Amino acid sequence: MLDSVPDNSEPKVTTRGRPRSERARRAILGAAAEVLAEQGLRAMTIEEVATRAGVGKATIYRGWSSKGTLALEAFLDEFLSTQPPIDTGSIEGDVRSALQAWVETVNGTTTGRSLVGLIAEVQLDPELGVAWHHDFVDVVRGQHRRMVDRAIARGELPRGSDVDIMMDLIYGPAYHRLMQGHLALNQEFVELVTAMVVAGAKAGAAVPRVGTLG
Amino acid sequence: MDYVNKGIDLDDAHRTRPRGELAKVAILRAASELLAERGLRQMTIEDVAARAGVGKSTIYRRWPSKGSLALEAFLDDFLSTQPAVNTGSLEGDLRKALGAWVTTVNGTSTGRSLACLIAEVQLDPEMGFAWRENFLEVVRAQHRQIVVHAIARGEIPSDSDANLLIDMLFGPAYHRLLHGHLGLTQEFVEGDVAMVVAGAQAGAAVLSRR
Repeated sequence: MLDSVPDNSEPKVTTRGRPRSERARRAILGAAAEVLAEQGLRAMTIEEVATRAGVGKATIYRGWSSKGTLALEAFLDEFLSTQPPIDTGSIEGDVRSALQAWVETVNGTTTGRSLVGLIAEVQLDPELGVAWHHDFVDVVRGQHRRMVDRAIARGELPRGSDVDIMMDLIYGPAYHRLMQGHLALNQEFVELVTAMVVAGAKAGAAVPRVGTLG
Repeated sequence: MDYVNKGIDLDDAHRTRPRGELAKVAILRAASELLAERGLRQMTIEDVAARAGVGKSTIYRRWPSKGSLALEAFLDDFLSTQPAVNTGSLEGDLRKALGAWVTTVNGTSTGRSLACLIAEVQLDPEMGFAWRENFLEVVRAQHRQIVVHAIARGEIPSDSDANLLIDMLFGPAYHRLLHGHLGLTQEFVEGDVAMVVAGAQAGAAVLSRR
């Protein structure tokens, strides 16, 4: 199917095959995202993704080392597009908007189920764990780092405030409720977490205390 | 004694009970060891039976699935490492509770078992129910007492949301355990506790205020 699409507009240069393989790549990632959302990672097969994308299995194995890494890339493509960088002008507004966007994307959605399935799989597949950190956690944390840097520059937060502890206090409780399902991810939760983190950070509690260990 | 005259049935029941308890202890210990050594996926009822010195049917009589056996074995182990805390201050209690959790899971087979069980719970709704009832709720009920005590001492507002405060303290810890992006260090414990105490004392865990 894909290979039969006419490509006459492309100039005859050595990279001519590239757009075609890029289209295949998009088709594979789209199919993988669908299968992941419908069936979950455990039930997803490379065969099903290949059939749906209209490519051979070998094409998929050339691009991805495992089902997990394919699912991860397909998921990230979709997920990261729903989490735009935020700049509301205040740390409180930024934290609320970021957490709100996350909750809306994952709460009761197939995206949320895919996210949970991937985190579960990461526990059982160390290679996937490495990709998970590099391609997901580090990327998202880079955005958040700028959020905290701007708040420090505006004088809202004390210099030396640690972005890692702040972000773990925001997303840790959120992932905890998503994974364990013990309490709701609602607007009240977003407001309280925002208030807690902003109050703590403004009081200087996110600045690591030096020399108090032991 | 009464049962002597009532014949062999009751006599048997009287004797098998302690024997059954011994088998239960042996099975749970074997399951706990195998879970730690291999993870749930590679653990089999056959191996547990062999190590505990019982027949497979003895295990199946009491536990409907490998998951339910692993869960009970893990709970027995884990809960004994998380004592109730009462240091006299919110900060002291939070530090001690989180510290005990970190010590138990950080880089240990218990931590790997915990992460694996949370992963398995996602794939098995029935196990998820047992997990929340028998693990999460038991631990959380104990931790909520920390907030109750802090309110009674007047350290934080009386309508502070205990569930939220517990999630603010342990959510980041589970997050680091499952994502592995950052270490469960002493520094983490101090930072997490400092943030939760500062937020709670500022009244930020009270919804009605807003």
